[in-house]
Amino acid sequence: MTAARRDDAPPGAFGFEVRRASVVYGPRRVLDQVDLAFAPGEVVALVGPSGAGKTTLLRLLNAALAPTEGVVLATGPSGAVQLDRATPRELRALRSRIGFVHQDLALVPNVRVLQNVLHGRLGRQGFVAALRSSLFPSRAEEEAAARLLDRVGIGEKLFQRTDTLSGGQRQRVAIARALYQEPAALLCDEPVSSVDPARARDTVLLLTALAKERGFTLVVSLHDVRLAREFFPRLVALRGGSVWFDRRTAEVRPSELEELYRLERVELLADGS
Amino acid sequence: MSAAHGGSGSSSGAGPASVGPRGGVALDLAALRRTKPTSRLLRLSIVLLGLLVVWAWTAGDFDFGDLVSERRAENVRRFLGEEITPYPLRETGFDQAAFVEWAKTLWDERGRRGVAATLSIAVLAIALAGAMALLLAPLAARNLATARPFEFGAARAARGPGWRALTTAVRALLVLLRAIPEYVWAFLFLAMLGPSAWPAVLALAIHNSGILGKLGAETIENLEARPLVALRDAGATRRGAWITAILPLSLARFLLYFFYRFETCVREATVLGMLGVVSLGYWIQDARSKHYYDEMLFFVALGAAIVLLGDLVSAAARAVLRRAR
Repeated sequence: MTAARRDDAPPGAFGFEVRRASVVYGPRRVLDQVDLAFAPGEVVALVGPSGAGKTTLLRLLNAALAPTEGVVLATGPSGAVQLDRATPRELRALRSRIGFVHQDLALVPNVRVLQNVLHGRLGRQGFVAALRSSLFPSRAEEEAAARLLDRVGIGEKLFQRTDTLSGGQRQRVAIARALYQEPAALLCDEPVSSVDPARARDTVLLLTALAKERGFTLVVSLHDVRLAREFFPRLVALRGGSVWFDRRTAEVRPSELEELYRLERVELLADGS
Repeated sequence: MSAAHGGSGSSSGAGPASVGPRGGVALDLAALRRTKPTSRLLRLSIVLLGLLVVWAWTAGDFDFGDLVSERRAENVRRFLGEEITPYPLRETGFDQAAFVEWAKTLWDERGRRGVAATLSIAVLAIALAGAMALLLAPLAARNLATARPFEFGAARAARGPGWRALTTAVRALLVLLRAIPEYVWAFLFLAMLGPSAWPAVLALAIHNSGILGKLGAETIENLEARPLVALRDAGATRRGAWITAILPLSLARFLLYFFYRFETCVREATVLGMLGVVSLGYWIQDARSKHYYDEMLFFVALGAAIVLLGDLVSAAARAVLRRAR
């Protein structure tokens, strides 16, 4: 059953369309009338100060959150799905093909790395299949997981307990898990916020290379503007819940980025008084 | 506040208002003492508790004279001096060979069977209780039995009325299971099934599944949400997440509770024997009714030994589990 489903899953990447979407928590407008479109296969960095709404936007894209106002669409080869109108079944099918690398990695700590990678397939597995592959992973599953771990640079960790790995290694496990989903889109929320600069550069390089090689759509929220400029052809800047600018990286002036973060400082000062 | 407060009292006098009776203290201790917070509830409880104890001693049918009367002293003397002495030794005084012979006969005739029955009742009961709890706990966990599982700060209403009804029903069932003591369950099953080991097994299993189910549900509710959210985001179902993440994450704690209750089960399996199940308790009751207090004491000691054994096994297992987490 798993194999059959996998074969007929559309090979194409997902695109996303966000139309006048707002997210409101009580008195706070975390996102305010955001209009954005991500083409299938596009590689985009979200930049902006903390609290600008980057995480919220990413959570809209994988339907972990429904917009208070507006519409979010995921478009694949088989048509567009309005995320907040999707049935649970549609939602599950969609999520199974959208990889999400969380800010805090969120792996199951006390099982092997192998199991964590195999969890990527849970969206397409029934209960019995999930039980079998977590207790008795097949040779094919082991090989597939090993290949992905090798691609992200930690192939030798396949059978280690996940909580024995370093932060950077666990991050790579999270990426391998997302890859095991055979994602049509990969969303990453601050994937390099907790690693040193050299590792951060490696990770961003890896993510963009993977997107090119496998053709999935990649949306990454980043705090580090230099990395964003270096590796991403398009930058979407958010500030205070709105799109501050949305441009090809080549057209973004350094002064604009400075301004994006300088304004944050001014606001913090204003808040503090 | 005042400048004098910051200065050290012993060096200079500072302002007149801040000089205390001993020349240095800037605080008015007496005023502070007058306004210090006190707990009326605590004081009231202490007084009430005292009154309650006085009432209990005076209102009940207790009489100190009765406790130490001549007749009772004679009883105690006979019990300790004669009746608990093993029967073959009463005439001869202590003789090791005779004592071993006596103990061996008791062990072979009844003790071994009683110990085996007690332990097997406890093991079977806790295994059944554990299985039931694994089935019921996820249904009672509010973060899992909801329309939107593992949601950050999901509102109560967002869980959906069907799911809420389910958790309420399961939680009520768990309360019912553990609210009725195992002793009472055993009476009910004895009436239904007649005398065998089953009433004891079922009674212990049911009571403990109520306890383990509740503890299990709380364990699940207190799990770190992020790994579960990540799996949900990858399209995992509740059952998928249960088997791949929730169970591994909570297994150590489940087993901790499991062994804790196993300990209790061994003790209770002994006691339930007095209802007619052929565990150690049955032989204790049997010897008592024949006034063979030496034999009774032997079985009581055996019971204490296996409870101790259960405690040791459970403590060892829990120590290992604590480290494993």
